[in-house]
Amino acid sequence: MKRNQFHVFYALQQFQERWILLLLPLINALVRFDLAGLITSLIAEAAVILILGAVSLLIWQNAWWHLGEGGLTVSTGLWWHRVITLRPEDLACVEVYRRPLQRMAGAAQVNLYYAHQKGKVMLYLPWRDARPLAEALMKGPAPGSRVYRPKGLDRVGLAAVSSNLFAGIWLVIFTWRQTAQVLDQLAFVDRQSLEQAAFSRIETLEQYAALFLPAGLAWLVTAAMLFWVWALMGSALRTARFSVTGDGHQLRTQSGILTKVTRTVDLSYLTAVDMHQGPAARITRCYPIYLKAGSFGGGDVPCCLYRVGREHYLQDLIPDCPLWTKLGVVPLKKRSIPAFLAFPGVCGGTALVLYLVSRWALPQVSWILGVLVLLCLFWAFFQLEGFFREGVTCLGEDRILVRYVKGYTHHRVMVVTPYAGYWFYQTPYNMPYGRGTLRIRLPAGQHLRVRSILKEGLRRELGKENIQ
Amino acid sequence: MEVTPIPGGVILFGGYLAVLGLIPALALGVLSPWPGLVFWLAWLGLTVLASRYGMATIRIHITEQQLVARGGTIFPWEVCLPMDQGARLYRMSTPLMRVLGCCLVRVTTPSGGVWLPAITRMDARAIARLVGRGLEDEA
Repeated sequence: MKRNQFHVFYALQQFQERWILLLLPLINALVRFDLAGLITSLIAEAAVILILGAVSLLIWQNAWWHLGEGGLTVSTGLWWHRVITLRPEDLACVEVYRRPLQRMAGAAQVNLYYAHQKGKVMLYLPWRDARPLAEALMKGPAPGSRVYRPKGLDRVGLAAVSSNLFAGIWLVIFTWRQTAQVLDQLAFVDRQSLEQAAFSRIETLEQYAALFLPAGLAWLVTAAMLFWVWALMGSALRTARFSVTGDGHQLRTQSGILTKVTRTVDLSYLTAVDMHQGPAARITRCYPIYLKAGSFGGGDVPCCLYRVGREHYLQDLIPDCPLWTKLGVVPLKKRSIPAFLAFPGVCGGTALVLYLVSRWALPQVSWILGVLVLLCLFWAFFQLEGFFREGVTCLGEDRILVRYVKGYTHHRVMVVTPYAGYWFYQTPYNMPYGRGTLRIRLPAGQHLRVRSILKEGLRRELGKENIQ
Repeated sequence: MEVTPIPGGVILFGGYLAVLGLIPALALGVLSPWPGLVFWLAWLGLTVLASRYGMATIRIHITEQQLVARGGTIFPWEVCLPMDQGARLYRMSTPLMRVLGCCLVRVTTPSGGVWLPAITRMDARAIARLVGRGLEDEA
């Protein structure tokens, strides 16, 4: 039996997993704030790095994999060997990641997701081995299957990312101007009088709060916006050059510029298909669709895009999955409005009170609180949609369409597995009305939450086989 | 088959929880005795109430295909789990549980898991036979 070695990236990953050990020699010196002790600690730190590096290399040397008739065998561990044998039929999804550094080193990360249990196996292999291995474990759609690439209006989503970038830059400029104003005013402030005022006069403190708070809040909002823009830019890079192909049995997606990802999903282990209807998706009328199969939870890139009027596209890729079915408003009898509006209502109300107070106390921060009020208002609006649309509908044998709202996103999830777990909770408040919250847990570990649903209606909808 | 916890389970779990609560109560009692005692009494009251009502109301219906468990008085809950090929049964028991002839069984499936508290060992074996799986001892 030929034992193939992992790429040396595996040793790096092992080193990374044990990074916490690197802190041990430094703790004593840092706690005592002892500079002389710190130099001794750094020598100990170097020794720890060397030992950890040597152990990681040893682990890498001892690990091996073999692809034979019985499937893939993977052996890891130094003192305790862990041998896993995986057959192609045990796998729901095979993912090949190639990050920029890995591509430079000729490596690839292969993620193998189990079909019948939670978890995945992660392998770092040379690229020349990774590709044939992924092909051998999951061949992918039949040759000649149609390849879909988003074009034209489907790319408008990316334009939305750019506009957010402009919003981020605008916020930075605005914040900088705000801070510059504060600094200019500070130039005329005597430090000693500031200290005296801090201890003697509360009114002066309030004035200083009025001086500093706008800049601080503006920077906070900018930081949040920058993180958001960073995430969106990352998403734009991940979804670039996106293509998807499927033959009804398997589905393969390829995407990314810097990090290239190839993902093959076996549709026979499909558990759910999730369509996200977020604000940006509604504006562009282009809805991302995520697959959940076995222990694979959907990943960071959608498997395909759905546009109204192009149902055949989705039908080709994922047969018998009519996510676009028009269902309308669910029965509203005995449904609780507070279950949907309580949280955004409380947050929005608090923001509104703060906004009104700021109008006369701190007019400089009013605009930020105004934005907060608007965000809460939108949130309440989306939750109100949930009040009318959240529900569970049976569309045939082992085909349940679940609609629920989370934050600003309306989810339409087609549960296609008979192995979903149902958890129904009631509170003293909703018990007299016979309603409660339903949580559907999927085999991959995700859960869907449907609020304020009638127990009797649910039983009727799902049938006795699902909930008794 | 229908399974209900044994009546002794109330005393058993109340006792275990009381001992469990004694640990933080003692830690608190070292600093100040009265808050420690108050904490332990509050803990005792709540856990005895919870185990009393929890045990009295839980009903488990299990077949080859699915498990349905219902319980709770203040907060009613209901769990329905399909017994698919990934389902596993774990049995846990302590010396006192063995004396009382009961055990704790945890059923896990890829879509979640439930505790079957203080059921007789005979019931546990019957469940294992029914769903065609062995019981794996965990303690």
